[in-house]
Order: sequence, then structure tokens, then C-alpha cells
Amino acid sequence: MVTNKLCMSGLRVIRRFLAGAVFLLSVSSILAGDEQTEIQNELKFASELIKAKFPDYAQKSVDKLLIKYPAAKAEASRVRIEVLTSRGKFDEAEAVLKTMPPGTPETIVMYLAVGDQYYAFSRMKDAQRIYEGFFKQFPKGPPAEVARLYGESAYKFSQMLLLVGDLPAALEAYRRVLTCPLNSSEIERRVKTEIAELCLRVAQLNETPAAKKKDLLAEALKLCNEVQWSGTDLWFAKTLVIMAHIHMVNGDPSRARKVLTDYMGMLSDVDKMLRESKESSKLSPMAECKFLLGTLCEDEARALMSDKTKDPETIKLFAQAMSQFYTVAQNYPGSTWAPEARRRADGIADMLETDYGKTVKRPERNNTQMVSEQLKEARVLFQNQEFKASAEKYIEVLNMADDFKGAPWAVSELARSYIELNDAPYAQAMTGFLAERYSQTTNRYEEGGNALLAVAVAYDERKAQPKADAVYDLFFANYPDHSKAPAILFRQGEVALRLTNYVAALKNYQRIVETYPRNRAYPDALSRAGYCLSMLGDHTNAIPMLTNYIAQVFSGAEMVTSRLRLADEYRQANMIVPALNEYARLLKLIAQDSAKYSETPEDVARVKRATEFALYSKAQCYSRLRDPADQIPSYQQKAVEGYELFMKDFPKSELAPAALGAMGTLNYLMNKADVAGKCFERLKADYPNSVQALDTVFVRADALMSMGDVQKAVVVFGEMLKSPQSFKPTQFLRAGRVLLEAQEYDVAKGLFAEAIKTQDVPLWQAASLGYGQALVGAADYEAAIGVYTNFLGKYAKSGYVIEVNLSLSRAYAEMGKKMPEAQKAKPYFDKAYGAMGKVRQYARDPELLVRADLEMAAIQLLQGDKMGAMASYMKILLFTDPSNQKVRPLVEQAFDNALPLMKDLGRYQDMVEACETYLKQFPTGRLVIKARQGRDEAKARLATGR
Amino acid sequence: MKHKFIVMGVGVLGVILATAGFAKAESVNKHDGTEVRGNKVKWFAVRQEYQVEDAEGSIITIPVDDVASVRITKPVEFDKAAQACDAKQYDVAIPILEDLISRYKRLEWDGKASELLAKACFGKGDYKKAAQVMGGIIEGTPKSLVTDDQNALYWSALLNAQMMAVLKKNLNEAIAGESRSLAALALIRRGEMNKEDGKREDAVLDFLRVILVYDDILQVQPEALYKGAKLLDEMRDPRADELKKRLTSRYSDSPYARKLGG
Repeated sequence: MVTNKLCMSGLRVIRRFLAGAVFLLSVSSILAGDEQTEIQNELKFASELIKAKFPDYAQKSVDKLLIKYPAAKAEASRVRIEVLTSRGKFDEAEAVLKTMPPGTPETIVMYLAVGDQYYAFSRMKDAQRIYEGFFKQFPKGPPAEVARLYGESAYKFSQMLLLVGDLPAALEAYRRVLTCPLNSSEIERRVKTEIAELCLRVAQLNETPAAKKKDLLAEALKLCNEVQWSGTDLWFAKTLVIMAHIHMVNGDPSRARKVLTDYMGMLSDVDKMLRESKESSKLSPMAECKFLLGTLCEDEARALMSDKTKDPETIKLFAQAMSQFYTVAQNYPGSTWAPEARRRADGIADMLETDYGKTVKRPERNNTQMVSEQLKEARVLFQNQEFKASAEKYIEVLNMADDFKGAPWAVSELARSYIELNDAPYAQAMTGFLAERYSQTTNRYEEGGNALLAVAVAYDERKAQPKADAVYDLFFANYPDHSKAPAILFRQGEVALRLTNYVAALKNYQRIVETYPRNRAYPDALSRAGYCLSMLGDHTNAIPMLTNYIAQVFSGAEMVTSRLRLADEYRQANMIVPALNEYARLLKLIAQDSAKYSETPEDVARVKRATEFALYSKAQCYSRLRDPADQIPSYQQKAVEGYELFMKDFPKSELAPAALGAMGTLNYLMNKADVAGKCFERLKADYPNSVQALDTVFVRADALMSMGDVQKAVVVFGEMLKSPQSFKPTQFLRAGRVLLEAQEYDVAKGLFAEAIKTQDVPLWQAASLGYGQALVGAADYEAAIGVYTNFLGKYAKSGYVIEVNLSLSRAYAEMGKKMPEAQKAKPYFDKAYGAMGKVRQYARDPELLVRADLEMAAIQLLQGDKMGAMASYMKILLFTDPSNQKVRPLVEQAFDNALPLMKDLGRYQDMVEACETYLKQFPTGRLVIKARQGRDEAKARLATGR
Repeated sequence: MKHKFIVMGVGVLGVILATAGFAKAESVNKHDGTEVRGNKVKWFAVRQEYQVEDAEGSIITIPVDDVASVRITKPVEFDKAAQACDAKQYDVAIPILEDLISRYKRLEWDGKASELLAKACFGKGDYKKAAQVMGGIIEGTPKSLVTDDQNALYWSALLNAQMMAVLKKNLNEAIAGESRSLAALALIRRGEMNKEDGKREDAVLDFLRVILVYDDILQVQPEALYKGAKLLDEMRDPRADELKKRLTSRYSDSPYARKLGG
């Protein structure tokens, strides 16, 4: 153990890898000077991009460069290799390497760089292959031109091997360093000392054969002698201690002791010299030497313990050992030996007192210095990514004390060391300790929170999201008043938002809104919460968020865009009058002083865009106003005027065709057929490729739909059926779909019937599905079954099979319900379940699966199986992930359908559970009042037993 | 004795007048380093020469090729126009400035009035004219004397006037030019332009180039970091956080850091 420690400490003197080799020779080039400069600048930029973790952009940059300068391909290979290796695409990187001229210094450097990246990706075998391949090129030692690169690489490779614990290979690599000219006797002596230490370490391995051990110890001794012959300094002193160890390993403790005592004066001088030059006492060999002497005395004393007649001598030796150990602990608190020395000294002191009845005067403890020194070493180990050693060191430190300044960081780094070592239980234990230990203190509260966050970040970096989230939860639970809490919530919100997980993002933003109204993240949290609510279709709740946000934004383009957002929310919530007012207010603000909102060119563009949308939407709102009815013509006139203004100011807008279409339709409604005709003519002339120009009937009907005038829209769509030869199947399909969504099944049926006359297979499939759905909607189940059976007979593997079966199952169930006797109904219901089985067999999308469950419940209800239907609804409520925005409305629908069923069946406990689940998942949902009432009623029923 | 006092009085008055005359004096600086002062400097476009008129009314003629610069008394209208611009009364300022430009052609204040006119046109939203005026100024000024602010205004005007081809050419020239600060600024503008054109990755590259290659041009870093982060955010690229972190940690006092919030 002693020897192991010795070797470790010696090798830690140099831990950092040498800087990358700099042997790049300029590549001869046919390119001119300026071009060469540009190429070099671009390649440098690409390298910087890789370092900044933008390898994809580096690749793009290089690609662009090569388009401009194809001759720069060879030079660009370097960056290409960097890009590939940074993304872990090693096979491709090695393939590129093979295209480079072999044996040139640049190729060699790149080759070794790939090796380094293999190591960084923990692919040591590949790193070893690369490095050994390089060394094998020079079996008789490196030629002068690559000697330095060879030496540096050998040193770097040996360090890699040491860190992965392959000591024999590390020694072999280390020996190669000596085959290169080192150009400095200081470096040479240092390398020799380190090789001697490594020889000693390898010799002590159990798997090293005896003969080999002997050779290794002889080699170490020889190297020590060489070092000692060329000077009396630190390296001389270190080799003395190594020599003492060699004698100990060889079973000759007296010789070991002699080496140390004979040269004690010299060792003291080195120690004094280091102290005077203010070098760290950690470098001094004295601590090691005294530890060794203590060990020798202790070993000797323990050998005498069985012979009671020799107690005085035993006690004396123990006392000497204790003294040496205490000296190490007191005088060299920063050395790696100090904690172990103190433990051993305390152990001996206890033994002398209890077993030998001696009184021991123990030195006064000074933990502060030792903790501080040991902590420094632990930090260095952690920074050097020696996680196993750093964890051991941190445990040593924290066993001494855990409430010093920096203690939370120590625990955090300990937890992170365990994370790196993939030791999940210990990492979790330390994280939990960190969360609780310092959250109740006042002086370590902030530090404790920060240290805990660092653990969360470590999980984040490893993409271990559930674990990171768990640590963030711990943070919010234990450090709610931490200064970073709002910022972290905001950041979490941003991450969720980026993943379009609006539910999770909203949760974080709402927490800021509710808990930290004075924080600077508050306004942005309001804005983003409004956005999330909008994306979740909860426009009514988005309105107060945005109103509050606008109150926080005093000026600038942001004020303009946020007002536009508010107006849009009103419009989408179908609150047309407030929407109209907001659009009008916004346009007035801009008209009064547009410069006030346009400080930068970007602002100018934003304000321009806001004006464009506001003008269009305002006109659209007028067209949708229906109350009072006698004012409709006046509203329509205002809408037309609004669209005209829009067309005047923004003729190139992407909304222009839609505006023209709406103008035409409005004029048509206002009995101005000639004006309407002109609008449609202009649409065809100015925007010939727009969807609107290609299908004016559709435009008219669609505009009527958007104005909320469904009946008139149905009439317009119906006109298509009067002259079907004038329309294409795609136009029928599109029109049919609009009416299907508006539940206008009768006309939709006719439109789809025209669409399925097509010869185009994908179009026919889409139209048949719509036709069947329209028939089901119109309660013509038998015909729908016919359409679907024909479909499945022709295209059993179509992408529409799931949707077809979903609708078919309903058609069968409805037919079953129509049957007067259960016996006749059964085959239909069996077929309904069969079709549903197909849906479940093929569906993978969560939305489809929930829709299938809803449909299943509907079939069960048709069959009179209320219990089964309730179970289907509960399955949706309890087991569906409500953060999926597509699924959320379906979950709400399931809850809405389930509630009366539960009441009917008297399942009050289930009712309480369903209501509480709903309230938890949809705190601002549309059924909140219903859920509360349902829960309270169910609880009352349970309490009264009625 | 009395006579002596009168002489002294005349002398003092002479000094006062001379000082007043000196303060109002206009001058022409020649390439050879000499300065020709007078009460009035005039420009004759047809003959391509300046005339300096002294207190006695005698005139010195100087060919334009000999002139390095001219110093002309500031016209009162200039401050009026500047005040109107500050008050955003652009319609008041513009005719004054146009008048100054025509009256003070090649007499120092035409340039200053032009710059102010460009700003007024920009403020009014007449970007095309702003671009035209700034383009004229930049063309007529040696490259080394054009300031970054002048270029920035010119590019903004071009961008808003949708004169993309001219803007692109100007930006590319600035990026390849010697001034690092101007190149950094041009990269940001080109990034904005690329973003507007839907070339979002090219825009990111422009912002990143400012951040990584022009990291010594501190005044543009916050804007580049902010715009880069915003764009990456739009592209749902998590590396936006790195740029935000850099912005808030290194430039916490900049308006862009405050804009980020959080």
C-alpha cells in the first residue's frame, strides 16, 4: 500500500498532457497568396467552430470553401477529420486519412489526433492501435525530423495508459520517451525518476512474473543511480525514497531504513529548500520518507507483539512510528500521506493506551489546514478527470469535516465523480445528502444550491434527462428561495419549449409567474406562458397572460408584436369584438408614431409585419361579425374597405390572394357581382399560381366558412355538384374535407362521390375514406360498410387502413345497435371489435391509440356495456401522457364522457380519482368547474353513503 | 495723456474686432500645409476653384486640386434642422437640409447636412432616399474617412429599402476589407439579410464568425451573440444556450443581455 501511494504521488507531479504537437508544415500550394490567406482563415474559423461545438457548421463552412477553391481539398481534410472525429465518425475520419499523402508530418499529426479523439470517446483500444501503429513505424527509434513528435506522443500515450490503469503498457510507452533527445538534463532526470517509480509499481503487481519483477526492480535501481549521479536535488531525494521502497519490496527493511537515515540530512536540506522557495510541501519527499520510516517501525513493532518479553522494545517502536506519522500529519498536511498518517498514528495511540496502559499525549488537531490542503488535491484530481482518485480523496476530506466553506462543492464534485464512474447509487446518495445537508443553513444555502445545480448540469451533459429532472426537482423542493431558482425554471421552460413540449414548458413559466413576480424573468415568463397556452389551444387563458405581459413592456417593437399576439388570441378565442378593438388600437399606435417602435432595422421589419397582419386580421374580424344582424352589411362593407387598404399597402403579401378572395366573396354576398368578378379576375391575373386563383369556388366557400357563414358556404360548395365536369377530383376532395370537418355530411357525401371517380389511386383512397366518413356522419352505415369493404378488398396495406378501420368499427357498431335482437346484433359488434383490433394492430401514434380507445368506449356504449365503456375512458385518463398536445383534447373528451357514466353507475370513488387526475393534469382546462363539482359531489355521496 | 488712453482704447477695440473676425473667419487648407483665411469662402463649380475674400474685399483664388479641406462658419439653419430631427419632425428638417446641401455645395456643411438628411429620411421611413443620400456621401469620401456609423446607417437604409443587391455587394466588400470592426458589423448585417432570405444556416455562420473570429471587436459581440442565440432558438438548436450564457456572463450590462431576460 505504501509503495502504491508513493508511485501515485510521483506520477501526479505531471498530469496534464503535453500540448498538441506543432509540426505542421505548410503544404505546398498552387494557390496565390491572398487566396491562401483566405483558405487558412476559413480553415481556422472551421476549427474554432468545432471547438465551440458547432461541427455541423464547420462542415458547411468547409463545403462552401471547397466550392470556391476546389484545389484546397488537401488542406480541408484536416478540418474534415476534426469534424468527423468530434461527431464520433471514426471510420469516415480514417478513410479521409488514407487519402492524405502518407508519411508527411501533417498526416502523422492528424493520425495521432484521431488517436486522441478515440481516447476522448473512451475507445482506448482504437487509440492504442493508432499510437502503436505510429511507434511501429520507427522500430529503431525515431529519425531526427520526427523525434520530438515521437517523444511527446510517447509521453502522452503513457499518460493515457496510466489513467486507464494499464501500468505495464504505460511503462513500455514511457521507455520510448527516453529514446528521443530530451535536450535538458532536468527533464531527463525527471523522466527517469518517473520511469523508476513506474517500474516499482509494475513490479508490485500480482500478475507480474517473479523473474520480470526482479528485472524491473533492477531497472528501477539503475535509473535511480543514474539520477543520483548527476546531481543532489529534488530528483535525488525522490530516487532515495524509491530505492528504500525497492529494498522493502526485496524484503530488506534494514537496508531501506539505512538509505533513509543515512541521507536524512540531505532529505532535510531538500525539504528546507522547497519550503524556502515557497514550493508546495506536497512536492517534498520528506513526508513520504517519514511515512516510510513510520511504516518500517510499525511493521517491526507488530512483528514483536507476540513476544510479551519484548514489550518495552515494542512500545518504543510503536512510539517511534506514531511520532513519524503525527509529524507527517502535522507538518505536511497537504501531502497525500497526511490523512493516512493521521489514521495510523491515532490507531497506534489507541492501542498504546488500551493494550499497553500507556498515556499518550496526542498533538492538537488542526483540521482546517489539512482539510484545505487535501481539498485542493481532490479538486486537482477532479479537474484532471481522475474521478476514482478524486472520489477517494473527497471521501477522506468529508470524513474529517463537512461544514467548511466549500463543503457543498466538495460533495457536489464527489457526486459528479460517481456520475462519471457510472456509480449511480453513490451518486444518488451524495446528491440527496447535498440537497438536504445545506438547505437548512443560512451561510451555505446559496453555495449548496449552486453545487446541487452543478450535479443536474452533469446529468444534462450526459443527456440523462430523467436523472437531471430529478435533481432539479430536489433543487426546487429544497432551495425554493435560491437566487437562481427563477432563472433555472426559465431555462427548463426554454428546453421544454424547444422540444415543443408546451405542457412542461408552461408548468415552468407559470411557476415563475406565480412565485417570482419581481424577478426579471417575470415578463418573459408571461410572454412564453401565453405562447404555450396559445399553442395548446387555450386561447382564453392566454389572453390574461398577454395582457399582463403588455403591461410590463413599455415600448419598442416588442410592444407592437405583443399587442398583435393579444389581438390574435381574442380572434382565435372567437371574441371578435375585443379582437377588433385590439387590432384597431395597434394600428393606431403604429400610425401615430411608427419611429417610436422602430429603433433598429430589425424593429422596422417587425413593425411592418405586424401592420400587415393586423390590417388583414382586422378586415377578417369585420367579415365575421354577425351581431346585430341588421348591421351585417355595414360590417361587410368595412371588411371590404379593410381588405382594400391591405391590398394597397401590402400587394406582395402572402396573404394578398386570400384577401382578394375574401373581397370577392364579400362583394358577392353584398350583391355586387360585377365587383366580385373583378376581384376574382385580379386574383387570377396577379396571383395566377396561388391556391385561391386555381379554385375560386373553393375560395368563396372557404371565405364564407372563415366568416362563420357555414350555411352559405354549403350552398356554394353544393354548386360544384351542379356542373361536376367543371371541377377536378382534387377540388371535390378538398371541398368535401372542409364540409366533413364542419359536419355537413349530406353535401360532403356528394362531393366525395364525385372525387372517387378519379383514376388516381392515392386520391381515390383519400376520397373513399372521406366518403365513408361522410356516410357514417349521415347515418348511412350500410353504405359506409360497403365503401370500406371495397377499399380494404383493394388496398389492404394502404396507409389509410387504420383510419378506415376506425370508422368501419363505428359503422358496424351502429348497425348492431339498430338490430332488434341481441342475436342479430352480435355479428355486427364482433365485426366492430375486429375492425378495432386491426386499428390496435397497426397504430403506433399515441393520438391514434387514444382515438381508438375513445371509439372503443363508444362501441361499448352502443352495445350497452357501460362498465366496459367507463373502463376504456379511465384507461385514457390514467395512462395517457397529457403533455402530448395532440392527445390532450382527447383526454379531456374522455373525462367529459366518463363523468356521467360514473355517476350513473354509482362509481363515486372512481369519480373522485378521475376528477382529481383531471384537475392535476388540466389546472386551467375547460372542464375545471365540472371536475370540481363532480369531485365534491362524489365525496359527499361517499360520505353520506347515498 | 488723454490721447494715450484713446490710442489704447482703439487698440483694445481692434483686438476685440480682430478676435471676433478670427472667430467668424473661414479658411481653405492647402495640401502644402498653408492656410488661407478670410471673411468668406466661395466655391465655383464651373471653374472648379475656391475664392477666399478677405476683410478688405480682395479675393484669392485657389484651384480645387490644391485644396485639402475647407472650414466654413456653421449655418444657423443646421442647428434648427438638427433640433427638428431630434424632435422627430422630419418633414420640417428635410427641406432645410436640402436647401443647405444646395447652398453649401463643397463648403463643408453639405456633407454634414447630407448625413443628417439621410438620418431624417430614415426616421421618416423613406429608406430609398436615405440610402441614396448615404451612398452619395460614402462614394464622395475617401474610404479611410468613412466611419462605421455612416456605413451602418447606409446598410440599414439599403436593407429597409430592399435594395438587396447593392447591400450584398457593400457588405461583402466590407467583410473582405481591412477594418476589422467594419467587417464584424457587416457580418452581422449579412447575417440578418441571410435570415430574412430564409438562409438560416448561413446567417448562423455569419453570427458565429463574429463571435469566434472577431472576438476582439467587443462592441459588436452582444449583438452577434443575441442574434445568433435567437436564431438558433428559432431553429430549436440547444446550442443557443451556450451563446446566451456567454452574453449574460461577459456582457451582462449590454442592452442585448437585458433583452434576453431570465
